Amino acid sequence: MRAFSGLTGSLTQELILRIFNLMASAAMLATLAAQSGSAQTPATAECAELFRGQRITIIVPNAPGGGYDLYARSIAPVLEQASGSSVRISYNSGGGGRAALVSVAEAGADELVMLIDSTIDVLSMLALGDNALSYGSVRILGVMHTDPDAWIGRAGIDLGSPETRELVASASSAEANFAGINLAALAMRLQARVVSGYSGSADTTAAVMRGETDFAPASLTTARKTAASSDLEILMVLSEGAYPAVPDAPYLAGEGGIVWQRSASLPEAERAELQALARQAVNLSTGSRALFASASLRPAAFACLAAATETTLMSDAFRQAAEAVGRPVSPMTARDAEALVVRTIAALAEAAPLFDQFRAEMKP
Amino acid sequence: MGDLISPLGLGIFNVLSWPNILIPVLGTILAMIPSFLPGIGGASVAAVAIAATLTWDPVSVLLLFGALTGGATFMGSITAILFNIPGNASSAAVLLDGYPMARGGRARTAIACAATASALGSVFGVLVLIAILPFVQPLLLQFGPLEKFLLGVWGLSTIIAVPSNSPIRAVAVTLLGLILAMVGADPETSRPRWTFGNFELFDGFNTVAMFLGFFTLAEIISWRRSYEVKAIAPGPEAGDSTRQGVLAVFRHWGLTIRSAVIGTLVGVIPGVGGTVASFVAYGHAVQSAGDRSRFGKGDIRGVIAPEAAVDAKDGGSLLPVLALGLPGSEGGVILLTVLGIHGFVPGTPMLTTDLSFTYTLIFALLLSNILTSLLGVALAPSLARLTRLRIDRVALPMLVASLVTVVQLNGLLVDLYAAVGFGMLGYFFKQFGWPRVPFVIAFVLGGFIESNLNLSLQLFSYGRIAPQERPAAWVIAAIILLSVWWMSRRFSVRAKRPAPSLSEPAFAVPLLAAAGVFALVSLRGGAAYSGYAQLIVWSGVVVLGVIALAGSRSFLRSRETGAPTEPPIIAKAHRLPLLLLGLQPVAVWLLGPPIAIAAMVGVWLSAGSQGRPGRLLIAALVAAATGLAVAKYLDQIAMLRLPRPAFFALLAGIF
Repeated sequence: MRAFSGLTGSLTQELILRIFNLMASAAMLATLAAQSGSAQTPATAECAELFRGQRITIIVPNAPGGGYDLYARSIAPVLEQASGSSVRISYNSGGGGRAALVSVAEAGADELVMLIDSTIDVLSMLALGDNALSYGSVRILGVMHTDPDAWIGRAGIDLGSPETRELVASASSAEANFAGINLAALAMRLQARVVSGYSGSADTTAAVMRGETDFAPASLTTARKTAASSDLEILMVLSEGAYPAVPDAPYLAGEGGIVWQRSASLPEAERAELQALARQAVNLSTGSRALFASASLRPAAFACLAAATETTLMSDAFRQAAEAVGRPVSPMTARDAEALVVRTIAALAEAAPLFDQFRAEMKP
Repeated sequence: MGDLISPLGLGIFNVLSWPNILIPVLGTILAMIPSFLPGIGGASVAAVAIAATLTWDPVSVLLLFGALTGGATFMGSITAILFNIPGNASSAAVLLDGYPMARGGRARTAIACAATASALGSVFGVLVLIAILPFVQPLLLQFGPLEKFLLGVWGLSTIIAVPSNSPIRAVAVTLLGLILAMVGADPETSRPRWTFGNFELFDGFNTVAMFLGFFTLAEIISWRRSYEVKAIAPGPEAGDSTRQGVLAVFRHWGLTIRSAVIGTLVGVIPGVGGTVASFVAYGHAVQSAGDRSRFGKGDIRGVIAPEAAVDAKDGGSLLPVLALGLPGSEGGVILLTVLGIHGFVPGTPMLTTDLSFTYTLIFALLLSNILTSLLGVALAPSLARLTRLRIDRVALPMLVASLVTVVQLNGLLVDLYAAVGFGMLGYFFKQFGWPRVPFVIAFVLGGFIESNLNLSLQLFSYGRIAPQERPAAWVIAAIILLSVWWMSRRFSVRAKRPAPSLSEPAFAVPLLAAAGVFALVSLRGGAAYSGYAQLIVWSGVVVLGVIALAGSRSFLRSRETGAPTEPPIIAKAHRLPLLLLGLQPVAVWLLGPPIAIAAMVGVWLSAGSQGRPGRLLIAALVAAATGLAVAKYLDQIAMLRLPRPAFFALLAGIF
């Protein structure tokens, strides 16, 4: 029950700490950049030797049957072929995803354990610094698919019109949707009130259908399915420029986007500032379904695992298996994925002061 | 109407025609596997089935997934009745009376009754579903947070009718249930609450872990060489028969139908699970009964109500997915994926152009429910014989099975720690005569009530709820008022003052201390502790304080007047199992589940060996074999990756 009031606010102690964190994350960015540069293609024979008789475990942070499970099941047989190891899937659904992350982050130097999760969820958990984990605790191996967020809402809401000043959103967690709702709304100069505590994306969408709220954030894949099954519409895709999969849908950032339309009467400098904010919202709300390994994994083992993962994710066999069970695929190599992580961490650090202010204003 | 009949006929034909009928039969068998192999969850079977059925035609796929959705529900009740182990969370309410019936020599009646109630509930749920299908979309949208909150309050209000020897104890345990249900993230701010830095508790205590602890482990403690319970359950009581069980459902036809209505209603509301349905129905059975003294001790009505409700819910639970494309559960997510893969678009098409496919799914679910019930009735005599096993001999295997099951729920050791904690709590509740049912109802409904209250308040503050426009809320509110009025007229509180005993303060003081710690933590405030949380925890402190104070004064006064000697708080026969169970969390943390469980087995067996070397050797061998089996099971079947035990982590650090 809150409305994020704006940019103004005093520097709290927490905020000062965040500035230190920001400096620390800048150092981390340098480390990650160095790590990504140091990744070398390993010799096939070396990897075959390393994988012989070993077992790779893919940890799914949810109960069986969900989207990540279906991705993992599509990956497993292909990865077995690519690596020569046996691959098993383990479920660790506790702690809102933290249990799986901790399990992978704390794996030993010789343990071939992978986490399948969203980049933004993993990095957000690491950013909060819980459980003595940091950005350096895990390393990304590759991305299976990138899906921007979208606002799915009641038909007839025109976000491009400056007349649309205030909307109510339904969300499961206000904090987790900070970028997708509050940051985007801030860029749009829109008052977005968030009703939080719904029990998942189906529940948040049902709230819109019942007329309790005006819109709900959802991944574009989910939003498209919902729009096909109901009277709701995709109000906006949180992308920079038109998103290729839905070229006609309104988008948040870039020329011709919602922010561009709503800020038409503002001075150029202010418009640019809002566009930057919109880009930040896009970066922080776009979820990439990715694979991670522990940063303590021996470099040779990591390189082999990354190579096997890349072979798997780029293969037709994986694409066919995933698409057959309704999972979209748009893979990314480990190097591109590392670059994505670096960008996301930079965006997180940039948004940290606003996020802290938002958290400080939160009262039950 | 004609438009409806032909898709309806086609749906029935799709299910019953040869060889189509084999598919739901196969699905039913597949759905039953997780009931016997707890390492393989129902969702895992369904997830494997998604990949296996990619090339199947749509009708065959719907037949299989309809059966998978409905098949597993009833089987969970069999283990609840026979062994006090709920096969799943929604079958937990059945054990409240089903297990006492089995221990009292009426296992056959209980199983047959559960199976019949389950089948009738399912038929009722499907009939209602067919009747409301044409106008289901607007109906589904009638149930928002306000209606869900009121539904939860209705369930909670039935606690008034649950038999208790002391109303203040019932209030105290209800508050305790509500407090423990709040552990985890605050529903509005997502900030951790009373997790004491343990991120694994972010999602709160697992409901199945609570049930396994509170009922199963608490019971097993008193089984080892017990002098208080008979080592063998009595032989079948006169009148214990399958026929009696089947007939009982028809004798209580009103209760069966009312419970099925509750189940169907709960099923239709997206996101409300079978656990809520079964406990609301159980509470209703208690409140509507003339003589409620047998509830919790083996009243057959306590078996009928939850069973009829849970299976009636199955049909309704398909609706949010079919009519709106909204999955309210893991099963719903899988079904939505399956529909998408095979080209179905949930929403209006499933209710119009694809209506025959919708009916195919519904009838496959119905057939599966009926098949499992028939199987239950047929197997009742054989299954009932299992209660003839000597409970002091099955205690240890059941203890091991319970601990392993609880670890593999989410792959978290914290679930084992919680189950042991709830086991201790349940044991002392039983020993000191504190009512257990209000605690469980409050625990199950607590989170549901809080989250929906919180959402309703937020929506109200934004002017997004207009109570005058919520007819369903008015209907549920009227039901609550009527049931409270009915209960208050019918059941005058006959508080039986417990005899002065050290047990009253001995139990109330630690509970008060724990509630006090929670209250003090909440005082630190922050976004995690809402007004609701503070109100509940401080109310708990006050009520427990009153009980502790009154109990202490009455005990001291009785001592002055020369009261009879106090029996020991913990019976001698229970001390070893209690100690072994109490040490499990430490041992598991230090050494890991296989070694900790093996050590427990070794001590348990060697304690009865009277130092004879042969027996000690056997104990050591059985312990080692158990440890190996547990390690193999957790690694190879449950495929868990558990954290490295502290002792081995320390060793690794040193060397």
